[in-house]
Amino acid sequence: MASDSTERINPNVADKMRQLADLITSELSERTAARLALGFKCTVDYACTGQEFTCSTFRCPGSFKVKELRELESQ
Amino acid sequence: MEPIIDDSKIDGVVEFAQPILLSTEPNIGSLRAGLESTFALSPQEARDFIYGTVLQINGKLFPPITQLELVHTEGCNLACTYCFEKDMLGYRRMSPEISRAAIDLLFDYSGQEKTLQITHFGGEPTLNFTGITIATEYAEARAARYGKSIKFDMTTNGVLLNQQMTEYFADHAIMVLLSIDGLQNSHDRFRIDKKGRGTFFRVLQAIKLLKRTQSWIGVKMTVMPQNVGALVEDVTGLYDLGVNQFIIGYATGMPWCNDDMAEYASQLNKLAKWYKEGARKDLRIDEFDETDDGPHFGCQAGRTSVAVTVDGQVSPCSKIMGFSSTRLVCKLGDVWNGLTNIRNRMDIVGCERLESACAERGIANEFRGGCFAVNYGETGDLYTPSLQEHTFSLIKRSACSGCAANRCS
Repeated sequence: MASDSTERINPNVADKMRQLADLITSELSERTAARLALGFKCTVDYACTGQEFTCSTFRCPGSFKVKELRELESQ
Repeated sequence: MEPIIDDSKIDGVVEFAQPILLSTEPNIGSLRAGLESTFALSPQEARDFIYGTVLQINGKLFPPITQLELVHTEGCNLACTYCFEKDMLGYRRMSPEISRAAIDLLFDYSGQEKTLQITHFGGEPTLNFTGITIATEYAEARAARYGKSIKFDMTTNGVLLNQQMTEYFADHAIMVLLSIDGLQNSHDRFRIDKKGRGTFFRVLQAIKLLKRTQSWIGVKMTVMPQNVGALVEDVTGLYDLGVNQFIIGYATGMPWCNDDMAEYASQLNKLAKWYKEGARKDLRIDEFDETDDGPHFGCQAGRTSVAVTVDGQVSPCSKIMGFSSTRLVCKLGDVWNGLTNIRNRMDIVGCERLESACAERGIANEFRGGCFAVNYGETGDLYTPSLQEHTFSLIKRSACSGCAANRCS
């Protein structure tokens, strides 16, 4: 709904929203910001054909591969 | 465009809203009331203010949301002994308004990500087939509008599947995953209907029906201690019946004795050998294709994926939701106001407490904290690791060793 509602938000209100978001973000982002921003990437060792059920259907951490994360974190 | 509001009218709105949004349990009702009464925003403006602000905050702090679990109904036609949603099940269904709002939230929080995924879930989702069709077609329309692609899957016990449903699922590329625990003896021991009757032969019909429109059949197998000795027989038997992919999970929420765990390890090792040596192109067993967990704690729950209850609350995942759908553990927000519980999202994405707890127990180097929901079920805290799951992770790793590499070569 926000995608539609942003079009109807008053500019002054939108400006206050930005201020508020920036304030809260800066207060919280000191805490491991880089780590929070990283997403999990699949690194299974075969090329999916597209017909498989994705790991996301089940949510155990073992199903989510983090090779790219490891590379990112080591940088 | 509406006329510009006099700035003085909304002076102080930032100072008013900031502490509420930063609190551990933000009172969004109070925030909205204050925006309306003190700052004279209309109800719609107040809602847009909250939704738009937290959307920006989430976008700056966290990864985009790309996956959504929609709980179409809390109803279920079965009475499986081990169901993790027992405390959630009831008779409520998700309304079309809520499913549309949930899908809007997914698209709003997806940022620049181009491929999104929706899992139709329940209860038993086929009990609300109409709800599934409404949500699917709405999501397809949104994807077309925003130039994104959308994938669907659904987890079902299969008992109510009919031709109308399977044809619809095929037409809309909804991948159907069946919950089957094994051959008749294993399956019927726990996956029973409300009259206590086994459901294996009804699910077998579902496999045959589904196979006509979906060539690749996947199943979620829950292994109970009482069935563990038949795991190899169950998997190989189901493969012979046309199943292509297995997602095997030991039953959580109950203690396993050492003998049963040892038997699980033995069965998993035999299964890995059968899988590895067969190199069958029409078979995937996720347990053995996974590589190591890497250094990162947590999973995609609350990070890139959320689940929405029938009444529009947002949880990190359906398994966490299963503890209570009325008073959510680690609530992230709701579909009307967005992901307002920023502290909760920070905790579940950051996983600092989970990592520390694993380190304190001396297992952080070999265990990434396990499943939040399993942790909660065993310890009462999402971020205190389940030591039983730690043991199972070692068993799995032992069975898997070398397996993925062999598949790759």
